[in-house]
Amino acid sequence: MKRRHPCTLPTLMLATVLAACSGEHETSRPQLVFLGVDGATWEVIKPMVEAGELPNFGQVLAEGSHGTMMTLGPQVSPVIWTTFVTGLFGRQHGILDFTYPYTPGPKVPVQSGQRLEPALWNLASDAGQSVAVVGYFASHPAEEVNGVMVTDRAIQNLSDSVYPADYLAEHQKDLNSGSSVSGRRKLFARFFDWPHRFNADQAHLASLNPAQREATSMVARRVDSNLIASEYLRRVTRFLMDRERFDLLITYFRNVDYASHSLWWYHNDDGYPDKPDPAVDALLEPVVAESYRYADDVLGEILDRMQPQDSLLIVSDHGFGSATGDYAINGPNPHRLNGNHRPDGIIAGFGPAFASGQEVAGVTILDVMPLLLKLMDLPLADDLPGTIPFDLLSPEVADRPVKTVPDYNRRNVSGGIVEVDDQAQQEALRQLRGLGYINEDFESGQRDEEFEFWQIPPNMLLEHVAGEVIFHILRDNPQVARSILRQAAASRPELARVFENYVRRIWSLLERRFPSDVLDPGKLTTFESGQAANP
Amino acid sequence: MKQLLSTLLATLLLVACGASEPPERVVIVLGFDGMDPNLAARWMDEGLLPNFARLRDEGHFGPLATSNPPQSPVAWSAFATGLPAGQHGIYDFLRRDPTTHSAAYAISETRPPKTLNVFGLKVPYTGGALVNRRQGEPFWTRAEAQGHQTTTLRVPVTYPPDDVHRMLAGMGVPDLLGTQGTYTLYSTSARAGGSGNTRFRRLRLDRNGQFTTAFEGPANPSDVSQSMTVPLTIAPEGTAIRFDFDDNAFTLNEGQWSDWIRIEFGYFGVLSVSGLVRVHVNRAYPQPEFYISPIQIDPVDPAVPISSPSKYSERLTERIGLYHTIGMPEETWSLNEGDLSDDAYLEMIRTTLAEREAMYYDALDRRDSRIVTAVFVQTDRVSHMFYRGIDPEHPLHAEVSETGRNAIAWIYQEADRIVGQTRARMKPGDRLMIVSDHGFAPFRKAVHLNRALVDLGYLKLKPGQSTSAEGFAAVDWSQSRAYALGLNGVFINQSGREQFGEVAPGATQALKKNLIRDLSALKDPATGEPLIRRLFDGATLYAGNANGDAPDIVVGYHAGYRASWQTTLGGVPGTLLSPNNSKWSGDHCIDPELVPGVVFLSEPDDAPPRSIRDVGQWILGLPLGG
Repeated sequence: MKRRHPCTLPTLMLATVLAACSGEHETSRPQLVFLGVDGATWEVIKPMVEAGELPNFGQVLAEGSHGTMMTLGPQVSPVIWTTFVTGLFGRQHGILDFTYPYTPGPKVPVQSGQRLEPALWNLASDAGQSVAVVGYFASHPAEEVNGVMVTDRAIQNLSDSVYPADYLAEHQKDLNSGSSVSGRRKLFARFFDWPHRFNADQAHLASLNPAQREATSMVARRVDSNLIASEYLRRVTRFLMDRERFDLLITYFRNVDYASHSLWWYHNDDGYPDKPDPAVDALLEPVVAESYRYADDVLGEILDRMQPQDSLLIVSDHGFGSATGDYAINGPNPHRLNGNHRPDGIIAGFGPAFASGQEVAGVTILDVMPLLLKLMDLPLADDLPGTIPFDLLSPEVADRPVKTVPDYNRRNVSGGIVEVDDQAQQEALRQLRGLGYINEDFESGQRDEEFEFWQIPPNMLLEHVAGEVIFHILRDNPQVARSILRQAAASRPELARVFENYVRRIWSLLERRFPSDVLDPGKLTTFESGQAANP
Repeated sequence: MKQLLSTLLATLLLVACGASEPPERVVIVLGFDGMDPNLAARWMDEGLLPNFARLRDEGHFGPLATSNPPQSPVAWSAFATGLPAGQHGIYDFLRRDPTTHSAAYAISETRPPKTLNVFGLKVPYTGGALVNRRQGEPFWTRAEAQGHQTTTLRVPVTYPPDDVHRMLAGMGVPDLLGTQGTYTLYSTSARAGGSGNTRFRRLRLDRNGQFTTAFEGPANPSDVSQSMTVPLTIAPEGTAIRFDFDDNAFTLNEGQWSDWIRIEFGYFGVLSVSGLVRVHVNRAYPQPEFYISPIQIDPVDPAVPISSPSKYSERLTERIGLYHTIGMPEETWSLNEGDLSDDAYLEMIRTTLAEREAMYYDALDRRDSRIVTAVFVQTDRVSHMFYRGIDPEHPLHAEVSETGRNAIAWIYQEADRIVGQTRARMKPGDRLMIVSDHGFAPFRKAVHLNRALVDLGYLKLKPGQSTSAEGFAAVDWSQSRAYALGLNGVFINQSGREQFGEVAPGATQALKKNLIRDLSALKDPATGEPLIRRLFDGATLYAGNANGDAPDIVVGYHAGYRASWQTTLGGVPGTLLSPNNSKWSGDHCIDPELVPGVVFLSEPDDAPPRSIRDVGQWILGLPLGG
């Protein structure tokens, strides 16, 4: 485990007193690394590991414990990633979509100030633990934490995107060198077996053959721009790990999600009515797998920088598959978005805090925060719906008493919306639009109005309600499931019948992805018969 | 020496009064809260209530006019004192605090105890001052003044207890937290949202299924910002839950109630406060959920006096065992919230019924009182919570189990059995009178009266607000003329009286006239039927206005409607009506003509009481002898 150990002045003084600034780490507090790989699925990882690829995922699978993550409710990344670090449903944490406002009309990307509840980094900071957060969804503007926060929009060099503001200052150029012309070429060469250029001009496009031009159009401004962002976050993560130790380091990568959205057809054409053009397929087929290799490299760099007492939790917010059948996309250009989410993501733990060789079932996105709190020895609030998945944990951690607190008494983290320049907003929205997430146009200006959860558009509301209802049915809590349905029907009488039908629809989709011991059909039957008696 | 003297004196006095001789005749006044004349008549005709039917046939049965509004505290205060509400001063469960426009408990007040500051610790040197807000003199103290011993058990609005021969206080006695009944629910499942009466605590089991917590009791007198606590640990025993609760170890299966658990909250050296709880397991392992009752004042060592003489509450435990002491032990909120099942709730009713019966029979068997007055409230609680079982139009009727549908008939039959037991204990010459304070009606739709006042322009919300949370949070008082609070009251926002009053006292009468006209016209949008049968001017209804709590207008709803819970506490939801989807499905806080109580007499009478206010005078008019 290689590691440089720069001593800042205060640490130096302290270290001198302790006479311990020697690079020895035996006495350091254990560090927890929380690695997010958006869109990662075991259906890609496990076969690659078996084929001798992804050595770092292989090590985690072989030595740690893992399982499938159940995503209930909207498979919308900012919603789920905020659930991971708050332990709450979207209705409670307030981040409901990629963009804001949640009503139709011009939009801007969601911001951290719209989160209504404290995130893990706030709680850890309050408890005096040090944290570093890198690239996390909906983390802009950076919050004041006991440590460092580099937001998902730091690469855009927005103000407020790094805390402390000057933390990366003299290193930014180096960290961002992946987006220089030569940096990009090197990065693209790894993924694209043709001379791909970022923002290629007509002359460059004219120099490509038709297959290369088609391949370019599939990755331009989406897969490629995210690779640049990922490379930046990868370097920031390395930089932070080399520079300091934190009690908690959170880092997040999205390149697998981008590649899978755009290129799943080329990766695996099962289920599609037709085959891709062979010449284009030859160029794009390897990109999804390469995205996983890239994620594996990131994982390897993290593992290299961990000490024996450190542990690592990897999660994804959902899995992936073809955008066909139940998962077909109704959009302007379904061909461009040929992959779609699946409700089964991944969860894996590695290191002394975790059990060895356990495979767990039934972990939901609501259980991640309780798990993280347990790992950090922080109290669980009574109102967190999820529970600790003890089977993932080592006996030593599992047997520590669970700390609880009635509530965190700490709402509205930072509050308010900060102004972001129009061009940066345009760019952020273009990437989202490219993924089919939004259709609305950008309009300059800030949108800071209050929103009422129950008045959000029906398609969003149905997903959120179904997710909560199904979670409570699964956890033998039909009473709360019923009260949510009742509240929904009272708030939106025009949708009263639709809510229940939607729950059934989502349940049947889940049934096709999860075994009956995880998703017991009897629970829905019991719930529905209770509903019939309780109109 | 002093002690010896007083004992001697007491003995002499007893001999002199001849009190050790059993009185020749006893008047038994038995109250069944909420017993409805129509239901009683129906079930007597069906042969379900033979003892009541015998009273009807051999003595007297008739309706008994109730108070206005027909709420238990108002009606039982009239029962005790014979006074109209304007003189006894209890107008509702809730009264409004004119300085804040917020709701307060109308029946009793606990004023904070005085404390001494000793080495930085606040040490109480007097108990809190307990005040029964009811004015007037109850018939039992008048009887005692006339030289007759009396026993009064669990009559509502008798807290703190009167200084009489024997009394155990009823509705009004708080729990150890000083509330009217705060229970605690522990569950592995998340909850949709709590309510004021609920303490919800999440069970975060460790991987062996154990959970350890500090169960919170009353505030620590030496630091009121901190609760005193006792340790509580649970662990699985098979699927049953093994409890270790402040030195009590016990195991309960699913659906099981515990016996009484005594817990001691220590706060300063050897000083401690003792309380009693019962535990019910709603769900066994692997996903346990259990309910802990409100913490009852321990009758053996009461934190505040609940009986007269104060030692009576303790001596009674030697005769009948421990018992619920809180004013309303059959707390209905847990059932309403689904935190107790119908079955668990009815089991609790059975327990409190057995306790009340035991203390009642004990008092009857002693034959040392000329008047024995005892009130059973279980009839009222079961009628409130299970009216859905007999009202086919109630939104929840379809899902009520067979037990639930029969629950009200069952509690009437239990009342009948108690009448039978009473008859068996009566001696020749004894008289029995049975009364209820009001009857019952269905409660299908909740009326958001403050919504109506907003829509009619009497109550104004702050700019941009279309609804308001409870406590009139979004109300602009500077533009508001009237507001609803409590179950039947409407108040004028009167200057010089309300803190933010804006209606001049001279303008009140005209405003009330308009309000009565406008509220009379309210209709159910779904059916076009009127919501309100009659409205009453508080100035005429409540001449005297004792306590100054009288509402300016009293609302007499039609059967099927009632003020919403939000209305009682000053909330303004978005609609005029809400379907009543709660288990609290029967009610009586409507036009008093629609919900009279009952009166049964063991002997025919030419001038039976016609109104609840007549009862005391009628009793005192009997030849009590002695």
